[in-house]
Amino acid sequence: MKEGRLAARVAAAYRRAAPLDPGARRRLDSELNRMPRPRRRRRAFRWFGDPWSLSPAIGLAGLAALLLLGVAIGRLVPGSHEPARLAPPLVGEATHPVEFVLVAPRASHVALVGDFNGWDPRATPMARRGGGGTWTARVTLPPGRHVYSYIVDGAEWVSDPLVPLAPANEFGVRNSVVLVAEARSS
Amino acid sequence: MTASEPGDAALVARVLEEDAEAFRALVDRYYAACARYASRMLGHRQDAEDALQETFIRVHRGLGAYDERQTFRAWLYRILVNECRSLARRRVRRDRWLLHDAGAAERRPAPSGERDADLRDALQRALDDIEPLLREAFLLKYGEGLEYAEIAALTGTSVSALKMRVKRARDAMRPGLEARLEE
Repeated sequence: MKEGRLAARVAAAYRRAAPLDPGARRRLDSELNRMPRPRRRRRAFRWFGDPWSLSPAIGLAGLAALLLLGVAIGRLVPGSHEPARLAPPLVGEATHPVEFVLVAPRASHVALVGDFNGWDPRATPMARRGGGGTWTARVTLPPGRHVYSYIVDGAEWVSDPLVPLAPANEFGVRNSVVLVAEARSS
Repeated sequence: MTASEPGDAALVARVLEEDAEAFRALVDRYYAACARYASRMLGHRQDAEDALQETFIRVHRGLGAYDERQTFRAWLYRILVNECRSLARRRVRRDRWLLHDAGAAERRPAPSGERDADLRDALQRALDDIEPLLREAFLLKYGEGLEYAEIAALTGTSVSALKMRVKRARDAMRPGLEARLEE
């Protein structure tokens, strides 16, 4: 069969996809009716919700400024020698929770997802520490290797740059890895 | 959309002026296409419904931050593609525990004589058999008719890599589909 004819038949079959349950649309409309009406955000603050709307030059300049600020704070503030971006412990005890930390000052919501919570963005929302830009979540994990990621503002999947990354999954995404050791008997 | 119908940008502007009907018009315009993509991508009706529900709720919630420099369609598909990816990840985990094929009911062979359903079924089986990344690229290109540049923008993948994925998808699906279509 000629490729063009095959493509045409496939496209026609694709467009005749079995319809979804009509009730699904009604449920969506009902949910939308309950939600507050969307309002335009002020343009100056639009990048809070969508950082990709910034031009690459401004984005890179902002990133460089943040890095410099982090280094300066680390050098100038007495007793503040921890990195601004804390990594979760690579090895912990099974009987202790593992703390995940992400510094995301512009985020309005951060969720921890991983193979331990079924990759469900609703399962482990992170809490903003002290009203600042640091987000934390404590999870008790069984011993073994766990793969995880953060979801910022419900859309951006962020891997942890300070810990090992797993090989790319079926979508070409590399998530972060945390190893939890077996608890030692004393 | 006909010449007399408002464009996406006009409808978005009206939504932001608190015109609820304008958002309903946007949903009407894209619901069927999004449902088609989600159904084919996930191969599971309930998951497709969940993906659609979550996609349009996210669009509604995020419309205030929507940047008019990208088309509404591209923005909508970016959210839909991400939602389908998230659902697929969760399903891998779920199916591993439940140890059953949740999509089997949707993929069962159609009764003989239902030629359209038979072809749909053959297509879905061929799609199910290829890697998710190939399926995603193939559906966005040939199913939804998006340009490679649009797909690149919404998936974060280069155009050349996308072309390769589409070619690999075509090559993998062709033998099974040709055999079915020749019958």
